[in-house]
Amino acid sequence: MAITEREQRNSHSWIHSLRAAVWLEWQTRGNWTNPWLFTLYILGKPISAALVLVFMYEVVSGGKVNTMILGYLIVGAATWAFVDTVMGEFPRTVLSDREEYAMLKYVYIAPHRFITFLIGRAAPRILMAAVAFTVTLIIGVVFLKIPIHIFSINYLLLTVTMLIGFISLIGFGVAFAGLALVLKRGAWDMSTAISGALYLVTGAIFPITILPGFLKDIALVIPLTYWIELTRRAVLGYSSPGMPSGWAITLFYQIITTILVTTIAIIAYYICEHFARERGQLDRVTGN
Amino acid sequence: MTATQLYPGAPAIQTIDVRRVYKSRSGFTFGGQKAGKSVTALDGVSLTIQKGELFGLLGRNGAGKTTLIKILTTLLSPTSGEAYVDGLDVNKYVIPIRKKIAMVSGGEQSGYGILTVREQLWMFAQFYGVTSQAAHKKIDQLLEAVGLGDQANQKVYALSTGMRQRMNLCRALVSDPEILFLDEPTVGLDVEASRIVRDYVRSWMQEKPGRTVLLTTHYMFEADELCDRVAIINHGQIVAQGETDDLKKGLQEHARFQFELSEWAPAFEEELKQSRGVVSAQTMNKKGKVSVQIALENEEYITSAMQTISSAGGHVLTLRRIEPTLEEVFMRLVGNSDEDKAAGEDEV
Ligand SMILES: Nc1ncnc2c1ncn2[C@@H]1O[C@H](COP(=O)(O)OP(=O)(O)OP(=O)(O)O)[C@@H](O)[C@H]1O
Ligand SMILES: [Mg+2]
Repeated sequence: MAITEREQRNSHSWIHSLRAAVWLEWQTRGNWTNPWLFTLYILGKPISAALVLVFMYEVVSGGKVNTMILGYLIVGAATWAFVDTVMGEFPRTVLSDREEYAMLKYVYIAPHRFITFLIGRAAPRILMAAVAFTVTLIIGVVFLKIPIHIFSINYLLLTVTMLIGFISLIGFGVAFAGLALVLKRGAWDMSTAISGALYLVTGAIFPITILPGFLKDIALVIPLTYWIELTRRAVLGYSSPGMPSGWAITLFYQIITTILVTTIAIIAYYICEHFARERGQLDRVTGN
Repeated sequence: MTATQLYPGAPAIQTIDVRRVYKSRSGFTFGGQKAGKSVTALDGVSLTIQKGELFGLLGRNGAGKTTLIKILTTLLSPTSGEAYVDGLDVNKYVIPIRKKIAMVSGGEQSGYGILTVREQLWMFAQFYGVTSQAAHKKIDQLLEAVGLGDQANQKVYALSTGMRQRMNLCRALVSDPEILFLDEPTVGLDVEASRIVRDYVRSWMQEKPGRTVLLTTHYMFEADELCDRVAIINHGQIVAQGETDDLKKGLQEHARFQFELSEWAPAFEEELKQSRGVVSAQTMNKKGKVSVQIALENEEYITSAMQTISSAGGHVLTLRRIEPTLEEVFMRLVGNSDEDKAAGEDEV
């Protein structure tokens, strides 16, 4: 009896862990006592970011607004909500659970891969970002007249590119979590800085054609570039300068770069984890 | 898991010449290079703890106890040497080891404050793959056992330190571990709570044969009361290990007795010192009560010592044999330290 239960446990453990981590995130981060505040928290940043872009564009274009370019900006900003909301959650989980709750060591020595726990903690944020994504697009259509037609959206392509996009987000996030394990201070700043750099490089707000040569090359090996591009194509129906013309080849690049980056990220994470264990940083409260 | 069956008769815990050096300079520090100062926390620790043992690890602050526990719980890698938990190398079989172990550190404010006690325990049960139904049953039983039955639905942030600590014990036990690491589990607990924890640990051990506990404590009476065997660690080295009784016997070169006398005369001490078999005699005057402590070559000399007293006109009120305590063993081996004294005397 005891043995069968133990054996049964072994096979299901990671699903249990993932589910419990999702649940924990839901409990700890959601401000359920005040739904309005919570909605503001989910929507505030992505929508204001999109509106700032639109405003800047209107100033720069001197009022001669091209709705295709507006569409480019809005979809880019809306997609970025995923990156912004989900990616930082990985290092944040490491820092809060280690420094604030002092629980990291106990979670870490549970018999699951710590990555599973991290993914679970970040997962609810995908849902929050999806809400922000949708609302940003709706605002774009209703108030800015960007050319999106509900019936001509390529939902299949959108779903596929999003799912692959989430995998690349997990890749980046896991690598940042690894950094957070070994960096005493500054892990948070570093993930913010890198995410800011990605924002500029991946074509989120302007086409990669205006980047200097080497940055353009970098843009082309980052999966986020293809993800944002494919989301634009699925939603708006037109492609951006500097990107492959067919959606199939773009998707192929997204898949290849996602596999590449995620593999490297997971290896990087394990290297960091190894160092953290070697240096005794897993339960260190740095107090910053 | 084939790995778990590789060593059927393996000890619960085994370390061979484990060393751990902490380097204070982090390789990722940007800018100013601080001088690389290093601390040797463990300096060649070899220990074997069999299944079913309740083993105590004693040592002064900074002796290396927590470091050893961290290594055995896969939180920290040893700098050199080998460490095995249930026959599994801590560097290689991390996940199989984690399935068998749990750890509680005393004196810390850990916990996901926003969760209730029950929720937090349930979550950990999930991490170990325990089904929800089994978990809730277990949680009720554990909370009841450590006197937290009424706190089950209270938020963790609203618990007192001692309550948190008891909850932490439950957290460790909810996964039904085979090997339990308790790092100062009763520090900061009130007298009754400490007793509850000690009693529970003991009954937990008896519930299922083969369960093992490695415990660290600064309370010598606690180690004495709970542990089958102890090791004393000093500056990262094991300076003694064995059954507590053996350690005490090893210390006791002479039989020691204490008399309480109705009145005092300087002659008693002098006479006693001349008496046969008496190694030393010392008079003490504490709160108006006079007593004499003597050490004898052999306990048979007690009769002649008593006669010496009465012939000198003394009247013995009480006679007590002084047994050596673990604390004395400890002090003898690791010397004196102000911090330890404070810690050790708190509850004695
Ligand atoms: N993360 C760390 N970095 C650097 N030095 C450390 C670290 N952790 C512990 N040490 C040092 O290692 C030595 C052993 O520490 P350890 O925590 O194992 O002692 P301990 O026996 O548990 O002490 P206590 O009774 O105070 O809990 C100490 O000198 C301590 O300063
Ligand atoms: Mg300690």
